[in-house]
Amino acid sequence: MLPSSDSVQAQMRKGILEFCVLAHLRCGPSYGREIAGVLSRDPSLLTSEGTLYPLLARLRKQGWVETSRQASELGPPRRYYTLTADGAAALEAFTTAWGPFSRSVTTILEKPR
Amino acid sequence: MTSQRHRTSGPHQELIDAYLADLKHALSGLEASERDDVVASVREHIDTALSEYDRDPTAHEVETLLGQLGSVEQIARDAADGADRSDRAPQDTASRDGWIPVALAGLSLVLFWFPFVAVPLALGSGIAAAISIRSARDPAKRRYRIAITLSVATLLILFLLGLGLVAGRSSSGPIGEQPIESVPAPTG
Repeated sequence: MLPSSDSVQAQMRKGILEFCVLAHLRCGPSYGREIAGVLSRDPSLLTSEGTLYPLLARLRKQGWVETSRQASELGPPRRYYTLTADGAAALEAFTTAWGPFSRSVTTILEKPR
Repeated sequence: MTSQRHRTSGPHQELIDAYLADLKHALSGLEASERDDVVASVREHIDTALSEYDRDPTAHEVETLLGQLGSVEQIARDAADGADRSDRAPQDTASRDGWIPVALAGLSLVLFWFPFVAVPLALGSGIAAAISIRSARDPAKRRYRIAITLSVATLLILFLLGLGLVAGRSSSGPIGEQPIESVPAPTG
């Protein structure tokens, strides 16, 4: 069975999306719907907003983010996610690895025989 | 008033409740705490989205919102995939961790007859295991527990032996302090 571009993207998202979430949180605390809104602007990153929440639960379990509940002027209180020191270190490790990795993939994909 | 606005009623709320119930059921493979966490977060997402309307959302708008969240099967599949990966990754190192303290603590138990070697070995391996166990996961955590048990056993044996030696010496009394029987002076 030949893979579709959607299934290839879905495979590539695994293990990468969590670092996109951490990268977003580097700018400051954010709540679920806001994170989902930012990531789903690019459909190649997040196709179903609901899939973000198991990922956030895992990040919290791993100690890479922590949560706090804050009142909102509009709507219910919101659970804000904040990057922890471990999360920042994990993001740093990913960022260091990602540059050479993505360059290598691009090079081999574009390299003429 | 704004705090009430996010709540829909009637058929819309039933739609949302049915979606969340289906989601909870689809996530039954996760740990209960993680599943409840995900369902509560999705509920909050929906409530937040609905609070952005300055009127009651239509059924179509609620359906669109649930459509953007994705099917419960898709969310459950992603959750299961992620749980598998996060369980696998730490086990790669966890499968190797913990053997060295077990070996050193076991050696200290074997060498208990040589206390100058056994005590530092037992203390070192026991303390190292006690520090590492906090951040360890199974099966490494089990090994650290074994190492701590072996270290404590060694130290306990040495302590009891020491007590036995001290008790033995004190009951026989110090050498050279045997009571001297008085010999009666010869008469006549």
